Amino acid sequence: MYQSKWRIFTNHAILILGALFMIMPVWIAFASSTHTREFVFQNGLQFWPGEHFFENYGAILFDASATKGRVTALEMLFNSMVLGLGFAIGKVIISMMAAYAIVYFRFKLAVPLFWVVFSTLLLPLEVRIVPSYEVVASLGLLNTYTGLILPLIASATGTFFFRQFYRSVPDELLEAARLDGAGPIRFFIDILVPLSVTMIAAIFIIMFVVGWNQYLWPLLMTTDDQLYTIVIGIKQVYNSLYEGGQIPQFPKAFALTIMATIPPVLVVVVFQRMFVKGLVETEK
Amino acid sequence: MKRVQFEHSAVPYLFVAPQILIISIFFLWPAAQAVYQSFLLEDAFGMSSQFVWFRNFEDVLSSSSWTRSAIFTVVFSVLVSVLSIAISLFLAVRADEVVRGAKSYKTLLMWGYAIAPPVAGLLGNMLFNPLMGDLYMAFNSFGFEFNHIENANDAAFVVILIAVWKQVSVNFIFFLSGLQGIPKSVQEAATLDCKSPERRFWTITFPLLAPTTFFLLVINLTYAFFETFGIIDVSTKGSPGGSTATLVYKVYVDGFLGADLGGSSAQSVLLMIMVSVLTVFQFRFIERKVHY
Amino acid sequence: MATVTLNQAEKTYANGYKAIHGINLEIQHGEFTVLVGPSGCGKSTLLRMIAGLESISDGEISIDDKVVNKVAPADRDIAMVFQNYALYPHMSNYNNMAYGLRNHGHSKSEIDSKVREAARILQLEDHLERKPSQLSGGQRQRVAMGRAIVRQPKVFLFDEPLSNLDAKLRVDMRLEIKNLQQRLGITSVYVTHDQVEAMTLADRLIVMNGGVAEQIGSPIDIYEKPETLFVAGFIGSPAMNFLPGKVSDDRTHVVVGDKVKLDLDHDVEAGRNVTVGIRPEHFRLCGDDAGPVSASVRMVESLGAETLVYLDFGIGNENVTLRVQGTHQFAKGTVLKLSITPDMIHLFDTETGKRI
Repeated sequence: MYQSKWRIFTNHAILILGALFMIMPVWIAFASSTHTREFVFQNGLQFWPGEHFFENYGAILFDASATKGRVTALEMLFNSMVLGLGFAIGKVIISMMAAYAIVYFRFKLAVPLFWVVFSTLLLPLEVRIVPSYEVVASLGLLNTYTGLILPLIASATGTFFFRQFYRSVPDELLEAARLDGAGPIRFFIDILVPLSVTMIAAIFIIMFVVGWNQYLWPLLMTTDDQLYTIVIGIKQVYNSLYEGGQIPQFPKAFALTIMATIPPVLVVVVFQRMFVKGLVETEK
Repeated sequence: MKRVQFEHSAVPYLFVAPQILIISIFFLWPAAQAVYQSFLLEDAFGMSSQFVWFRNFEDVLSSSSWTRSAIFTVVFSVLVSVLSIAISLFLAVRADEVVRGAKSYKTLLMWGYAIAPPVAGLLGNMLFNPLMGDLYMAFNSFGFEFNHIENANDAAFVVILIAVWKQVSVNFIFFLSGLQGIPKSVQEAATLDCKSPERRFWTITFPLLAPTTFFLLVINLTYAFFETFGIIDVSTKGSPGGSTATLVYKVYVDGFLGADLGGSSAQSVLLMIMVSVLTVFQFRFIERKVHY
Repeated sequence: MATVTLNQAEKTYANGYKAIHGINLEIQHGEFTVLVGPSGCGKSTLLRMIAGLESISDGEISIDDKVVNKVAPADRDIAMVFQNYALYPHMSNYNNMAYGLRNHGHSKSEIDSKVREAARILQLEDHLERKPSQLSGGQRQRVAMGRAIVRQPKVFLFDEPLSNLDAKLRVDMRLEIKNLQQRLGITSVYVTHDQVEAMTLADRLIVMNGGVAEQIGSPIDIYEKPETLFVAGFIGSPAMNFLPGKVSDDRTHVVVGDKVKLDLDHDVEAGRNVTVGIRPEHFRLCGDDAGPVSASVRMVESLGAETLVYLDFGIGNENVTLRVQGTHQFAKGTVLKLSITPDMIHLFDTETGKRI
């Protein structure tokens, strides 16, 4: 495709600026996380990494006092992992099944049930947090993984993704399977699930990131430190930065922030193709 | 819908059961609860409550803090959506054109999708920290008397900047894929017909991206309404004086920190109505989406 | 009206792949030039280099003696018809045609008269206000043609414009394009892989293979005197038969297989190994025992106007194709007597593939 020299030059200049715009804040946080607290306090944010990388990250990962609580960053990472995986797995399984029923069966309550599922798209968790909290509390699920994960799965976005996908599967496949004597459950397990593998992977990746990054719900749900996810953990650390008249522990707070960011970023970058495909195809 | 379907009495119910169960317990019940509570007035100790019809709504709608928050939310949402869409469209057009390094640029611009809103808020918080924030100091050394702790406009600027930064990646991904969906030959035909890249963009590319842009507008408004909660909670906390509190943030503050259940529920119900309108709008649009 | 000159034009991609190996070509005023070749031969790349959609790695391309290597596509005064038409889906057909004119600063009334004239020629008057998606494939093709015509460019470029149409429409449009080009007299370069299009449209034909122009000439020249084995095999349908042969000691015959002897009037040295090329339509069926060649029938395909007979020449499993006018019934195994006049025999060097 024809491009003038000037256009090529400005394209690169603009993209480099854009990339710097995205990366700079995270880079500065990282560089600053590798200095001592005194140094950062006196000299401000740092652009070049210092020599205290292992010291600061080691303390955060293994020493609970560094995170101002009773849990280490390692435990928080574990909790985040449980939330991310639990959310992704739960959502994929439940939405695949529900979408299968809605698309492939003729049954009496199909239409009303579809609307029930649809209605969840209208009301994100954020607008009904108070009653949701009460319901989970009355079921005795506060400070449990179940209480953390299940209410988040209620939204039907995944179901719609799979509904779209199933509808694009050719009808002839079902006809062929029926001629070969497959019943509904056979068809689902032997044909539809294997056919959806890339779709499942893509949605799984997206949902993992979404789950990992949850904030409001875990914030309400987890009053017990033991269940803190790393995203919640950072807020706690930042809140207590200025407590006790000590020099604020900025570097370790930054280290925690970086650690909260790395896993989802890694997932998105490593599975970039799949992730982009999933995101773009499902949102149509 | 499918031309061929299974007819079976039990199987479909079995398959939808888990989802319906979860929705009933964790969605329908709380939603109904919210509607119900929005009609109740609890006493100060939460011991008794009485049914007060629309009084909570009247109180909410007539309170100046809610009106202010509503106005802020609308302005905030529109600015965040328009700015992040504009920036990412600009970047996506360039990224679609480059040949050398195209993959690297794509990765460098899209990874931000994975950043949690509160993390974005913290990074902003850090850069605008009065003790050491680079941006805070830069603005002040340029002669702006920048003070987001006390000045509502400055605080709004900070929140908007963070929210835009966080959203650029998502929009970028969609725009880039939208651009790549435009047949290459159509773009080539345009280079034969029109020399200026800018004019080509406005007459060919932008109109062809209209469906993507519209879709993203809805997505971004929804994002600005709800998902910016984490950003606000760790950057300004709605300060100064509630001037940067969106409606969602206010529901949280009033309901959880202020323990005003009736008022918070009424706010929730109002929000539900607003979102429903937005979503129905979106779906109607998607149904009618122009297929060229 | 313009000339197009290619002087050692080359294309090498960033990954080192050389798509075009130094092509020289001079296209005259108003000439209809067709680039033909199998997919991947570089014909489209060459066309896109002329259009400016691909950069030129080495050599020069000139339009009307002005080197255009660095000229933007929109400034080359060319118009192109794309394989999938590449119409602007969001514009009416009228605006599709008017778009380029507007960008080149023509007045409103001028644009209007040009678009309406083109629409009249292409019978699109009733469809101007519609969008391309509301038209049939053939009509879209016309709009794409219209978009090219209204520009009154120096050069028309066609990139397999008919390959998305069904067979009947393709024939109609082919005639129409030829007719239009002759009427407007605009220099044209046309890319196709379809040899019927190539033969019928071209004033001059360029057969390409592997980024090289194998042969340049009039269609009839190329049909009658293919310079290489590749060209001989590519042009003509059904394809030319190739048989391994050896020139007899007295240089009057070439011996194919063990028993088939063909008369020669070529000047070739004795005993040389050659590849003999004979077009299916150049065999003549003789009476029962008059012909010098006999071969048994393996299979017969009747097309009505003509019949294709696949023969066993006794040289392995290869079929030799024979094309005869009218309908014939031959049972499998029937032995046919054939003759062939010496000037219809093509000889190629087995090593180099070059014509002898």
